[in-house]
Amino acid sequence: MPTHRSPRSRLRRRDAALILALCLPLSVWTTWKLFGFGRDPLVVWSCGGNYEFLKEYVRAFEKQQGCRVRYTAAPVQYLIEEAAYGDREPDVIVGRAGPGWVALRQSGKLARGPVFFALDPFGIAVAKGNPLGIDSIEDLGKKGLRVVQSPGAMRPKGTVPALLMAQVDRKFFPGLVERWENNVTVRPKCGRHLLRPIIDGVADCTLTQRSALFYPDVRGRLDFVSLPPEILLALKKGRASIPQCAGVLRSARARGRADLARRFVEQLRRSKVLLEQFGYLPLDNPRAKELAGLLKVSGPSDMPGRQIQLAMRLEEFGLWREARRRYLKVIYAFGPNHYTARALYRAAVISLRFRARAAARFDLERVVNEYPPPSPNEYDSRILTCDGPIPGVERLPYAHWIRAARLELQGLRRPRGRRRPTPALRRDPRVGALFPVIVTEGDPPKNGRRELGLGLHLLVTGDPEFAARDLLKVCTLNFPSRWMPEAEYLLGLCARERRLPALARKQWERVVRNWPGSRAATAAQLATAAQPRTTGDPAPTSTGSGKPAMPPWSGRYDTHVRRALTYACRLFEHEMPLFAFKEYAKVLGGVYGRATVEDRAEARFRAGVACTALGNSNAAVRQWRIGAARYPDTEWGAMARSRLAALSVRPPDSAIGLPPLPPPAQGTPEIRFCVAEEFRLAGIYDKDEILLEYLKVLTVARPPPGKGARMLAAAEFHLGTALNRTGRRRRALELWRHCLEAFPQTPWAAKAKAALAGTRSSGPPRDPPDRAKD
Amino acid sequence: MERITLPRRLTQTAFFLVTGQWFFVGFLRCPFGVPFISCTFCPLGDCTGIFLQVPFIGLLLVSGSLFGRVFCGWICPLGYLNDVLGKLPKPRIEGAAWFQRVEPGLRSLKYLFLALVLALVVLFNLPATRAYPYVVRSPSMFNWESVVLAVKLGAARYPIRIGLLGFALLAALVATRFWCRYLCPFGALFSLLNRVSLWRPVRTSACRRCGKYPGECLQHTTPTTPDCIICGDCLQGCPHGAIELRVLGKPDPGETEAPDGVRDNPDAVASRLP
Repeated sequence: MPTHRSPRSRLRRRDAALILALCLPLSVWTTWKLFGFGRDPLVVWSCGGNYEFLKEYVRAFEKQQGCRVRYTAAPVQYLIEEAAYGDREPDVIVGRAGPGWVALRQSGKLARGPVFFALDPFGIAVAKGNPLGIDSIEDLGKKGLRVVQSPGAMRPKGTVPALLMAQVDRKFFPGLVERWENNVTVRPKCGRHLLRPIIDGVADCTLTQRSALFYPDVRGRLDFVSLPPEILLALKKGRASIPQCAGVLRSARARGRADLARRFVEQLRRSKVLLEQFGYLPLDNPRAKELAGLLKVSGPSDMPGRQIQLAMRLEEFGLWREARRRYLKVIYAFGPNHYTARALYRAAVISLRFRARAAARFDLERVVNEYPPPSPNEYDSRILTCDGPIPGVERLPYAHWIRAARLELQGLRRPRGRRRPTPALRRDPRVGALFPVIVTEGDPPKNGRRELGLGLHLLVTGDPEFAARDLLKVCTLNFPSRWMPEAEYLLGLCARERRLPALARKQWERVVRNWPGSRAATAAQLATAAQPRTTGDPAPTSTGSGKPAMPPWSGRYDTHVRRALTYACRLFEHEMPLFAFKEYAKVLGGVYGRATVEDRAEARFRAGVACTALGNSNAAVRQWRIGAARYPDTEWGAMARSRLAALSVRPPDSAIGLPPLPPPAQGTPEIRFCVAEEFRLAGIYDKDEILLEYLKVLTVARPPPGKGARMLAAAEFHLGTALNRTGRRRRALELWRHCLEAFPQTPWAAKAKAALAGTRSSGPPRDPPDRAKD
Repeated sequence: MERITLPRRLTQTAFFLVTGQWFFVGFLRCPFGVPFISCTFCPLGDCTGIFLQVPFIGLLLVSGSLFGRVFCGWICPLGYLNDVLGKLPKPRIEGAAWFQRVEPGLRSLKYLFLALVLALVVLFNLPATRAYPYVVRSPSMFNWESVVLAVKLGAARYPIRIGLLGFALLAALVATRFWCRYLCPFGALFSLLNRVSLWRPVRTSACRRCGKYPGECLQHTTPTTPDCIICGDCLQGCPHGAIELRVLGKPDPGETEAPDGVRDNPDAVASRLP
């Protein structure tokens, strides 16, 4: 029988010798190279988008200067945050001109810069030879086009095109963002794969930055359609992705490499050939000169933070429902942001005030289960905006809100019966399929998805009236959104919940008629069948119902003003005349852009009808008098005169004494002030909507303190007056006192002083007990 | 070296050099022991793993279907390092009676680990290719800055993976192929495939039930068990030439599958331990 001799000892010695011979020198070499012993390299960090260019540039720079550069690319926002607040600092940072540079400067770590060296404009990438003849951004909305869209996490490739389309939609081509969204057929997971589908022939075009066409795998295989400078200059948010800049940090000086770092930055500007080779426009390029207006550091305002501030003020004045909607808006309208956990928690707390325990539980469970989000997130960055800290809105860690939500959940007793209460609505097939809508960074600010998410959340958590407001936006302001069938169906549910069965049926019939075969249509058919036929809730447009008659509307969507007018009319149709009036006031104030005389006349007339529905005939008369005097030659002016005649009111002879024209420029805080003033002048104090409008002036649309002092003082004074009129004198006095102290140089301080003196004679201030005003 | 050990060592070394990313980008820069399996969770952007991940996983599954755990014995760089570390002198834990008692339970741990990994994938809905949207890139392989930034940007994942890899290597100094035998979830998956793979080692009719397997089996197993990594040491080392690799592991006519030799003759275990 053969015997077995173990070869273990022999192998062990041999292997050990082999390991030592191979691994020891390798380990020493690796460690030596990794830690860079024996050299003092220049440390450069850059945005990931600059990697291809800078890799070549660094190589050339090393060769020319005879030095070593240790170069790393990563998301620049993260790198700048690390440099500004972390424990590591490079010598040079290169990247897009985002708000991080402001933070870096404020932290005192920036020695030089940011120095601009190139531009990377956005444009349309199309197949070689541009077979479909795409030559303008409007063409992206052409029916049948196949568009590629990148994920939102890749900011320049994903979020910025969505922001650009939203801006172009707002300024130039209403409805373009929705049409573009409807054309999206490919959504690659990585922005680096954005152009591949066009090369492969499965998509036709995409909106991207010029340098993307110079990546090694796509270079020379696609054409680039440039966008006119006025479009890129119009870009408000995200424009920081276009200019490229570099800065030297103080640490370079401390390490004795300041001169080398300076040369690195200086030479960037001179590397024109290399810049052009990688798709950038050097600053002396004629096209770059047209975009010179973009050469500044810019970043978005902290709008979610300001919305939180507004919601907190609304809570202060007892406007709970509106405050809750504003908190939810932080989640849905602004996409992922640092305040979402806080907003959900506060929305839940307000739901508890209304004893909506299921809604509160749902929101609180979301806080506990979904937060903190997987980190790191760019939206959690401390340097994402150029705004300083917002008063009263301190940035608390997620753990704070999670702890608070857990405490609230402990206090919530589980209802008897089912273990997890599910409101009946959430069992609806379409609601169940859609809810909750998760808004991602890449969702454009327009296209209706955000409004659908907000409306659906409000509906499911028991506020069908406010839900209808947001869902109507999907069908009107965001026409032709791909979410319209769903929104129309959900509007039917809102009407049913609000006990308007005839309106609900009308909504569902509209879905079946307009989108036959869709899932929403199937659900609408089922809902119609389940709904007993009724003659109730006559539409407000019918003359025989005793309700004021709103003239039929055209349902046009060609301009933003027309969309807004349609939205207002549909609000009226859904028995929300107050919010309809508000939309007409917004049209007149210029929120939706410059309105034509005809549009303004129509808005004024319809606002009068809305006032009548509110039971405020004086306000209606005021609207029609203005309409008759200011737009005498229009059809609407004539209609206003006839209404006044029916009421035996004489129209004014001239427009003297009427609100000033033209309305303020778009995007200015004056617009919000004008809307609030429409409410005050009309004497409409229903549901405290006037408070909301003045509070918007003081929070979300807050003008700069110096230039806007008069407006801020006026808003504060009128807010006090509105509070006084609605019986909240203590609050009114506080506001007048603050107006007096904060804006002593303005005429409103004198008025506040007089108001304060007037109230002294009428006894001590007294507020009604805390109540849910809504 | 014998006819199988030498080619195996050469294959392992070659794969270590080609796929062992530590060699190219430094130990800390790629803490992922099994190549290209966990690139999804790595924030490093300019690494071969990104492009090789999907085809490599496909290759692994094919190899698993054909040869069971052959990957572990012939390709895996972590397995190779475990083999190498297994050669070093170590405390006499494996021979201890208490270790023998808990050893079968320890072998089941890897299935638990596999279930945990799968549960995490399902629970967190992890994507197949890239879970992490942000990447760190550097043109130079040896860049300490990029390592630090990757660790920071990778949040908890990176240190956890570095910790697991460190543990796997340290444990190999205590018990041979500790990670592969008791914890590796991929090993557990291949162990399951071992039962259904096309080629399996079997004991032929020449087997005398002597229970004396060659002492070189670092996996401390026998050829017919799921933990066999088909290293081939027993094929070349069986004094009776009674072990062969056969399609579907069919034994000779009239020969039933031999029972586990270790359980046949427990004394043989002691002779195989260091």
